[in-house]
Amino acid sequence: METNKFIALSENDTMSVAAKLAKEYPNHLVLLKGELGAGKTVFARGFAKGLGINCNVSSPSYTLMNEYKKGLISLFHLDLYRLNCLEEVVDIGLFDILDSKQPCLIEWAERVSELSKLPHLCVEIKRQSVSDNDEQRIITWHWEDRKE
Amino acid sequence: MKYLFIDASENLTHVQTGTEKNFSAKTIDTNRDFAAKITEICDNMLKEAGWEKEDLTHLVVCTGPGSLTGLRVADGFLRALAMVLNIPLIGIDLFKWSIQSLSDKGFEGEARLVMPTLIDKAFEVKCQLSHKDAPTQSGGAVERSETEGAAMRSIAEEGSCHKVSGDGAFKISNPVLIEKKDIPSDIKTFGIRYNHESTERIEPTPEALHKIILEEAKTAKSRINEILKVLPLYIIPSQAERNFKGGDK
Amino acid sequence: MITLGIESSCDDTSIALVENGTKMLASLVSSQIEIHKRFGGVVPEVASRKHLEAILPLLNEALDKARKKLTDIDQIAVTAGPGLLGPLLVGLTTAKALAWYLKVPMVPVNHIEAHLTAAFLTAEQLPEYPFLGLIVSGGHSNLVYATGPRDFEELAHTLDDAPGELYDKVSRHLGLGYPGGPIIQRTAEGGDHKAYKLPKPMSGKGFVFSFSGLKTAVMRIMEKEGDALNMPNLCASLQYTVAETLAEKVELALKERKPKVLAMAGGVAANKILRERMQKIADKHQIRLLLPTIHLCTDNGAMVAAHGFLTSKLAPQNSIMVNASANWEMGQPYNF
Repeated sequence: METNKFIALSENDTMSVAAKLAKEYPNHLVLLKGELGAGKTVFARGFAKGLGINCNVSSPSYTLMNEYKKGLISLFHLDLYRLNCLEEVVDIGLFDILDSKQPCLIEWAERVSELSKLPHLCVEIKRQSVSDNDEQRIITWHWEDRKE
Repeated sequence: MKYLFIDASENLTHVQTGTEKNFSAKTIDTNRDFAAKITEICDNMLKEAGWEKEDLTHLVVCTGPGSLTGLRVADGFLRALAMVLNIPLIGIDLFKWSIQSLSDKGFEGEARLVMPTLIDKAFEVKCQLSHKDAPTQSGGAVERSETEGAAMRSIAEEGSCHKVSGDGAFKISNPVLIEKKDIPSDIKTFGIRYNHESTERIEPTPEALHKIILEEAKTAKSRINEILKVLPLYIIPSQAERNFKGGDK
Repeated sequence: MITLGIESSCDDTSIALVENGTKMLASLVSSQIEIHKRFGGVVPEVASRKHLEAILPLLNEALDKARKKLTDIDQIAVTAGPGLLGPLLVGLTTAKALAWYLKVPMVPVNHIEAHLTAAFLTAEQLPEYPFLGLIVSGGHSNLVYATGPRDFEELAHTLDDAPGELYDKVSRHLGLGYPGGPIIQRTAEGGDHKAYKLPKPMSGKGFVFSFSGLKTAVMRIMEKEGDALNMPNLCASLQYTVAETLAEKVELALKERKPKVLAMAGGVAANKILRERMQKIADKHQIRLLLPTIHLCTDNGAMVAAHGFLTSKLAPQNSIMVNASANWEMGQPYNF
């Protein structure tokens, strides 16, 4: 399992690595890990750009799921932070989306353990202090194949 | 009788219209845009049948299991329509439909039907088909919560048997959730719209559906509380229902 | 002209009938009616299941209350977004079935835009342009300059949490319950807002909101005070800081733009302290302030009906083909 690493000094950096990954994984499941404020939505913005989708990418923490469309491609962007039980997960149509094989970015996927059983790109964003006023992000990723 | 049926449980939408004498079935690829196209689909169905909305006597919806989004859109639409047209809404699930289809193929004996769900799980239903002229058994109506008019069907429960009508007698267990790895079995197993090395694929047929509808229409009522009972099959039973029955909690 | 309004984007279903976009004949919310009887007092928790159960009985109740029949309805307005996809679809498909059967137009309505119209509906009038609108709710915090029924210039929005979400999170953290806004307002009564000092996020930074910093600030005070924490004071301070933060941006906008009216809407617009603060601003700038009633602040079908009436000519002819859109933004084109 090969892990890649990138140090992002700015939001633009985060977005460019995301855009690059979008081109490599254009219709895959991406599980995004990172604490509050790490920049998961910034990553999603970059990812959408990489797929050629220029919509406004916003945090789906309230809507649970956003869909950004361009022609026949739909990027699904989910945030499972506010979900309380498996019923809700089923109800937002998560499994329908996974069946549709459209690109799907999920924040706080740890909430639903079954998700890690699917083949996915595992991305983690960590905050790191550089100095009193400065922070950077350490972005790591690897592909989890999950063949039975 | 003039019925209109929608099955939005999977990517392809299956629709059907029919009278006592005949029926017409079609499969449509809505490109995942079923919610947008539903009225257009209904307009086309009526046009092809040569009917007006007011001619309809029964609405029928597939209650799943399957894509909750699709099931909900079809059910939401058809129950509102049933209410305003003041006609019955009949709900038919894929288990019953598949078993009837199996029976039509001449299958007899014990069988198991499975349908994948939730990544690594599957629904399992066991049934016994017989073509003898057995007296229709009244062994247990569908088990439901005792609450007045409770509409939610908990399907992830061990169930007792219940009867499905048709030619001959069937016995079906209530659906349960099993692990996908437990699909292979000694009992003859069929996968509903599903291919697996240890199962035979069964496709629910328009003919079987037609038979079920004719049978159900005999007792279907147009009262609003009957319409409200027709709901999608939820994979996970409602917490509320479980709590009420004094279940896990 | 009678408009049926269907609102089904989040927690509750609401159906209303509004005459000529300004007169409310009936507006009911699902939590009010007895649909949970069948579950022995417990309603299905999952939003879309609740909506599917509630919507038809609610429709009948609303028609009864307004003393109207289905055939009296001239058009159907329904929230098509933003919101939760499951609930949105329930409202949308019900609306489609009715519109299809009744052969009347269906108008897709943007939930956030409808909130602003609620402020005018309370005054039983149609919106006047241009107006400055502040929408504050669980999921939104937008300051907009409106020049037409669907023409909004966004002046500010939140970078992170909206005030409603902030209240929910803080209230949960303080162990006070849900929803946070009303609870924090009640707890703050008699409290001294000067007792604890909270930073005003983005103060002096122009047209931008940010509220998640207040979350951390509250948590720090809780840790520092421990058992000595004075809850009413903390809540009062939080409310005060949120109101002042919003006030600063509204005043900034009033200096730059000359709207005819100032309107505030959304769930958090029900907050007493915030309403008083806005009134002070309105008085100072000698501008009319429109606030929705508490019922119209929260999600309701009446605002959807009113906004549908207002925007019906802007909606495309084949609006019955609209799909739900979880992230439909204010003023953005219809999605089909």
